[in-house]
Amino acid sequence: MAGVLLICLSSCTKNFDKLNTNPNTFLSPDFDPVMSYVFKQTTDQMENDNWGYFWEYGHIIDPYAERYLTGDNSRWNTYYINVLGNLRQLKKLYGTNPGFTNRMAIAQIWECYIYYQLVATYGPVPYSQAGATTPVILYDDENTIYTALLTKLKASSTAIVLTGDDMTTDLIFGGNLTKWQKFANTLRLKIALNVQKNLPSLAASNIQDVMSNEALLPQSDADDAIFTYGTASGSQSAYFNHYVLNESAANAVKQSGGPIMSDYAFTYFRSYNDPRLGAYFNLAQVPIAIKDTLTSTADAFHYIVTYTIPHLGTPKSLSVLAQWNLGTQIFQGSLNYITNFSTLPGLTQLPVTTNSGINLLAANRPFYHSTYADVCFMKAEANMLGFGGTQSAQAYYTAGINANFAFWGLTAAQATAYEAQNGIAWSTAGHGFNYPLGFINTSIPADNMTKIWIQQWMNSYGDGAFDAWCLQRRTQNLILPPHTNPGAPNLLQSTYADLPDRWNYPVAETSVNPVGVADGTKKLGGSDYPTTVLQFAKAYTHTNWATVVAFYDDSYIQKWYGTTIQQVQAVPNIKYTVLSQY
Amino acid sequence: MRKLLFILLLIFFAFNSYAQNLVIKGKVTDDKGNPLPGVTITLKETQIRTITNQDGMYAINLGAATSRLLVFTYISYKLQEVNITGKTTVDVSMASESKDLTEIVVSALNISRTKKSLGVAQQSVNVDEMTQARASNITDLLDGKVAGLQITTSGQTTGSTRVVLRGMSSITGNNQPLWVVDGVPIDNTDSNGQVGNYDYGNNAADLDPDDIASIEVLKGPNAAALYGSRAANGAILVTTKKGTKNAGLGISVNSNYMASRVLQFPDFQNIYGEGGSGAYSGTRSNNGAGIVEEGSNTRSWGGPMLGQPYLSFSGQPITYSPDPGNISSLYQTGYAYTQNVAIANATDNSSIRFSYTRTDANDVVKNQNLQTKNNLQLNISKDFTPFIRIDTRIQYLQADVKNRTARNEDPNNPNNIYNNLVRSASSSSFFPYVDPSGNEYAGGSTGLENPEWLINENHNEDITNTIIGGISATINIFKDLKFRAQTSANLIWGDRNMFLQKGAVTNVNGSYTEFQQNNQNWNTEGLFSYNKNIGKFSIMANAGGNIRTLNYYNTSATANQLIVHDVASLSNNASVLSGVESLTKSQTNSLYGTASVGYNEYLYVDVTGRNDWSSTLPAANRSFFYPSVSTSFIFSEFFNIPQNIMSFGKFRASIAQVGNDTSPYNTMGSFSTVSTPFNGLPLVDYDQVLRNSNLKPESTTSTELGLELKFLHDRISFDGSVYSKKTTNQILQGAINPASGYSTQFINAGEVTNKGIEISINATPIRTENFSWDLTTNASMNRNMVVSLSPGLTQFKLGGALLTSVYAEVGQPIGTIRAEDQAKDAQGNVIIQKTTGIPYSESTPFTTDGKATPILGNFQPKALGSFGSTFRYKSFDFNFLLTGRWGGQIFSGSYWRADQNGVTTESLGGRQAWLLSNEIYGEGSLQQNGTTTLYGLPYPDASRAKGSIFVGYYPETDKNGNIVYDKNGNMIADKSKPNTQYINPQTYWQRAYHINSELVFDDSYIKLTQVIIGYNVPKTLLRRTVFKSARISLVGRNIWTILQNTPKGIDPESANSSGNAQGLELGGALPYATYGVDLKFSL
Repeated sequence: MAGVLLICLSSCTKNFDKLNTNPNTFLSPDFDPVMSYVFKQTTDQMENDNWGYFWEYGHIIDPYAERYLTGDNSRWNTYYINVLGNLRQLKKLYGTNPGFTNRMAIAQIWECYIYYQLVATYGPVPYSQAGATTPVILYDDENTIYTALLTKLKASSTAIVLTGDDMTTDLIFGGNLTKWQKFANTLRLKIALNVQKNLPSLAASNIQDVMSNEALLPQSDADDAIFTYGTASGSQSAYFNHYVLNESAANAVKQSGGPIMSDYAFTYFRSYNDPRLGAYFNLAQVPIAIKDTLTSTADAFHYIVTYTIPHLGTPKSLSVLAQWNLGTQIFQGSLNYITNFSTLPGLTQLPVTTNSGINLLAANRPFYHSTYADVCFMKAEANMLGFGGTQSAQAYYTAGINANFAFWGLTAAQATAYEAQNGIAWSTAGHGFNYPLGFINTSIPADNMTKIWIQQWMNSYGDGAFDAWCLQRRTQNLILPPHTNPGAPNLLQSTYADLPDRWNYPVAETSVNPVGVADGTKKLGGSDYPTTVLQFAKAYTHTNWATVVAFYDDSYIQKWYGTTIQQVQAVPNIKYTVLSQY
Repeated sequence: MRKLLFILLLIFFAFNSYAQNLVIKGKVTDDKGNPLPGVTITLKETQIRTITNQDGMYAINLGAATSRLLVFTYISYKLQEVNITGKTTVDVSMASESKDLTEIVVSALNISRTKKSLGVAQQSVNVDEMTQARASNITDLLDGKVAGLQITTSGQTTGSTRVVLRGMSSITGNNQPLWVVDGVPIDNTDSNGQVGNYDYGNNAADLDPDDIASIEVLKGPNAAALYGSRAANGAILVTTKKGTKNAGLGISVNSNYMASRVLQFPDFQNIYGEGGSGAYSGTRSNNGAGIVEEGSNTRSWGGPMLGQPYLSFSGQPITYSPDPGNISSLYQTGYAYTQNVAIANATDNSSIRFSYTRTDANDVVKNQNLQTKNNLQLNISKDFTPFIRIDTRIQYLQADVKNRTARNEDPNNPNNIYNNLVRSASSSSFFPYVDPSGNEYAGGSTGLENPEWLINENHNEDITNTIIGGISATINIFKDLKFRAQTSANLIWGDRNMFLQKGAVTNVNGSYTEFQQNNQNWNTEGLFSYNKNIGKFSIMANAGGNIRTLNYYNTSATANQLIVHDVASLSNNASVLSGVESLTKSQTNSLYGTASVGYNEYLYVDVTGRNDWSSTLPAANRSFFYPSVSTSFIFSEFFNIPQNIMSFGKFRASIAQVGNDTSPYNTMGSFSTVSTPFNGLPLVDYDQVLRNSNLKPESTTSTELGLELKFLHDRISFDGSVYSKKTTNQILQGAINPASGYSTQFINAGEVTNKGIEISINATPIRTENFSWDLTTNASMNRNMVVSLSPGLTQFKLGGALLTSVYAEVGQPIGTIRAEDQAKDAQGNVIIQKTTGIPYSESTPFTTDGKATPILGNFQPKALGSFGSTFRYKSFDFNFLLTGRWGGQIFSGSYWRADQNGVTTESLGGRQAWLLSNEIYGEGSLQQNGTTTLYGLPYPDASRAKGSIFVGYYPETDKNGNIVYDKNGNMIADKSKPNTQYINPQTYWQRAYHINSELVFDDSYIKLTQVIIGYNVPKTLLRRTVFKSARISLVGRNIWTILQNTPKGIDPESANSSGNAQGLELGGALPYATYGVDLKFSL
């Protein structure tokens, strides 16, 4: 009897393998739903990093984080685990299957896109050893990774056979393989332009190669890489989830003010009568009244008046340096903040009052991984550098501005008027206002490369904030004000900070991959700081902001409606009060 | 039939008595002089017998028999033989069977053993007290009853209670003992515990103490080795009551009423209301009307509450005034009403017992945790002598809980609200809480929820059905060989729903979730038992096998956005329904055997062996064997020590090994669908956990020595154990470098040791006929150590709350609490930042290797103890139990929040000075720091306090102004430069962001856990009634916290989960005391 039992017990283990296989999961899914997940994870992460970090870095939208924080673990984890992890599994499943050539090329393009974001954020990161499950995963230096990415992107673009296999549900290009080729080349151009300093010859050859076949670059916004969100729960955009759906966050935002227009971009908008001001941002809900001195066409008096202005940008930080010996900031605002400033359209309870009517925070708003205007500006730079192109740099530049204006619902006439101004028109210099703290000026020199980069930056509004950060680090084209409430942990002893040069490695790396992170730090040049300059970035000398002469200069908002009181009177529904005349 | 037989016997006796007329009469009493009914009196070597009546009286007619020896037998009393030669009256006082020598206990595999033969530590729990001083979770009642057993409660009546015996062995796995009910291992895992911020309790919680005959605690792997992998942490064996022979009808009734009330409310300030930096103004005004809206600011750093105009949540004009009762308004007196009726009876060869218990209870928080429990139990046994005996038992438990309280920082946790409620919010201002469109009237627009909305508009309900049952047949094959076949089941099924009303501040769309579960845990067992005495040797051998299958199935569906208010239905769904289905199956086959050899009643050696085949492990490592050896040596017997000196002396020793498998599906990775589709399209994600196809079973090896001594005729007894156990090959779900593509991985790694000592002492200092005094004490110490983790890994995070985390770290006991703290120099002086007047944080300067935060404590206690006493005077008795712990720390997240929100009385410090300086004199930071704004000259009014000030020094700097570090990288305090900067008290008290040592509290406590004052109605009073016994008692639980080092309102016993991440408190329930009346009678 015991023997029977024994036989039963040991033979009954035959079904154990089947028993220990999870019935609610599967081993070989279709390509598309996994790829859809990859696209969604990527896009969600990019949106989250935009409102969390990059908008702050981009100086157009101030998310009111009130900090120059560097990222948490989520970018690293999402990209390596949710995105690259799944791409790796797809490669295992379909990598050697000839019926999946195009789809594997698409997966590879996306992989390069992800690694580009990682290497441009952190510097050296795990690349060649990524995917290993060993305790040590060594990092690769920046040049190795960029070189590999440029090679792979070219190979992937070439590998796509337009008559070959394709995804059924392609959430980015709807199954258009040519557009995938164009996206690969856009990435090549972007990366190559970015690495001109550290990999000059590789950059040159890639830029030339891409520019030699412009047909395989986007021709219009129809070629943009777009991920379209939806209105149903689980399909909503990450911007919406953060600022609108997650009501408590939205309320916190409302209380501290933000996301609102940055005063830095605002000064540029004001300096060049930029109609994008009204296309990008809402009118202030409760316009603030400013004091101004106006002349009159009717008499010889000067009038001291107060009147309201429809837009206002917010200071980078409420606190100012003690060394500047300034009083309270002029537009420090109260807790009524959000009502006085120009907000991002779409915040809860605030109607969209932009002239474009585009609601950046709408649940179903698409995320733009690339825009045609951005491609135009890149081509303009490539052409300026002598790397080819069928048109002139100026033509690409103008096309870029036109595309950007059109994208945000502005008319061709508005674009033409804007482009005719000094500082915007090719080879002209323009005079700009002072930044409200006085020590920065928004004048644009005659140099055309500067112009291209300024317009490329202006075009980064919305989804392109990461590109703006890369552009700024690569070119140091903008003179950005310091953050006087920086908050980055390594800067506790400082009272101000410049734009972070990179993100330091996630804290968890020191416990899960100490050897690897030490290797990365070594390849980084010895120190893992947000102030460690990456190889692609332009070296620059930090300004000692404590010793600059700061003064409040509100000239950028003065004379909003003109220099005469009659011009103010001519504006409908404007509240103005004449305080005195002399 | 019995009646007929009885009459026949009477007739027979009558004839006989007529013939011989030799009748012996007498009275049988117990050793206290109480009459003993039902004692069997047999004339030796004859069939002549009788039993005593309810007064203990008997008369036996000896007839023609020649035997002159009367044998008195009664269960659990010593058999007595009395020579009646020449006597007609024989009064007998029966001594209760000395428990120590022949006490029978249930041990592993439900095998009854004499306690003296056990070579392992096993402790019995007094079950009687459990039915009187009740708790809604039976697990709580083990507190202080067993040496080495640690209880952690959820603080809520419906929550789960964590039990740990002899310290934590497993870093990520289960550390709780196996619960076995009548030989049925039941499911008491955490999977039935916490789901999100809701704690669904542990399954054993609902067992009814009225149905329990005994609870035996097998303290470690040594005792529980035969249960195999499931009992690596010990086992708790529960044996339910069976039908017994009764003198009366066999009906017993227990009626119990317990009231509970909050023991401690936190000390909150009532001076400053909502706002910031000491100002009443500055908060948002109501559309420019200049009146501050209640809840516009979430913190109480505002101005003094002087009755300024203020708007309630619903916009009604009220005043900005303190309402000290605004916390207590959410609380009430809770109650629990328990009613039990049991009917039991037995014949010579069968027994039956049926019991029904109903419990209705609520909580100290209004409208929360409304419980209804129904317990039904039926035990039937039939002995088909001499071949087969059938035992069946079934327990059906149904628990229905409405409005289970959310925990932690869930906005729906009413216990969390008070930490976040501004002090100017009066309880009346919460009404009305619904606006005309059905949405919440909440605090301004800052996310502050209206507590009355949460309590009244959101609701949830869960119904859990549990069956614990089994049938076993015991077959007598030969005289000494038995075979027991048994099938048992633990079935759990039920559903839950959760409704979050649309229109709240934090969840504007509302949601509705339904969850259904169907868990089945089946065990089928066959066991051969061989018992034989050969000369001085006794042999007991068992061999058997077991198949255990687990099927856990659950589904859930959620409507993430509601269309309309109030409708709790999945059809009230404005968006995509998300659904999840999960089926988890596993099977373990086992073969095991034990052999126990005893010699001359003083030496016993036990050997056990068990082999498991677990479906959760890969094929190569699926089969694992583990043995144990134990010995018991009764040296008092061996050396023949006189009873009046040492009545019992036993030495025991054992060594055991236990394996432990893992949960299902950990050996192979796969893809799964994301629960919510994207725009109607499926999303598929690969497993983020790196599964391991080479997993090996965990292994625990434990050595134990024990000593049991009894002195002065058992008046003093001592039981002590020392043990050492080592757990290796831990199955850890550890972090892995994300660059691998995974977030965690399953590995076999690490070694954890536990060493400890346990002592139980029971004594009866006084025992007279009318008065007795018993005392009992349990004490234990355990030293835990993480010897190693996986190669290269020195730290493993168990969990965290706010910015504080708990870890298992090499070279430390499991449970190091780490968080950021203020920087100190080698002498312990706090280093302050010169620019801000705020201390540097410990991890400044920030370098790659300096990211670790300092250790602020460890959650494991150094020692546990309890002391109890029972006094009996005639029919009265009085019992109390003190329990305590010494050592260990807890991080209070609630206090962190309360300080940050400026609601604690502590946070008043510096506010008056600041108000004067900042609000009234208008001094800026330069003046507050001693210089004037204009020319940088010394500010004249230097001596006056102007706010809060951190005590510490600026760091030493070199001539270039750079900070100097010592060789360990610490800053050095410049003693000549103490910090002189006054700062805003709000900044000071919000220091919690980086000074966490002030929020880690010593967790030692002493509590008066149990008090019972009882009165047994004397039998003499009951004689003419239908009652066989009656007792009334006044009881109390947790009524006095004698020693406490945590702030008022923070229970040192609280925990934010029943998992391994202990030592963290966040939004925990306020400690409450219960008082009650218990009435028992039997018919």
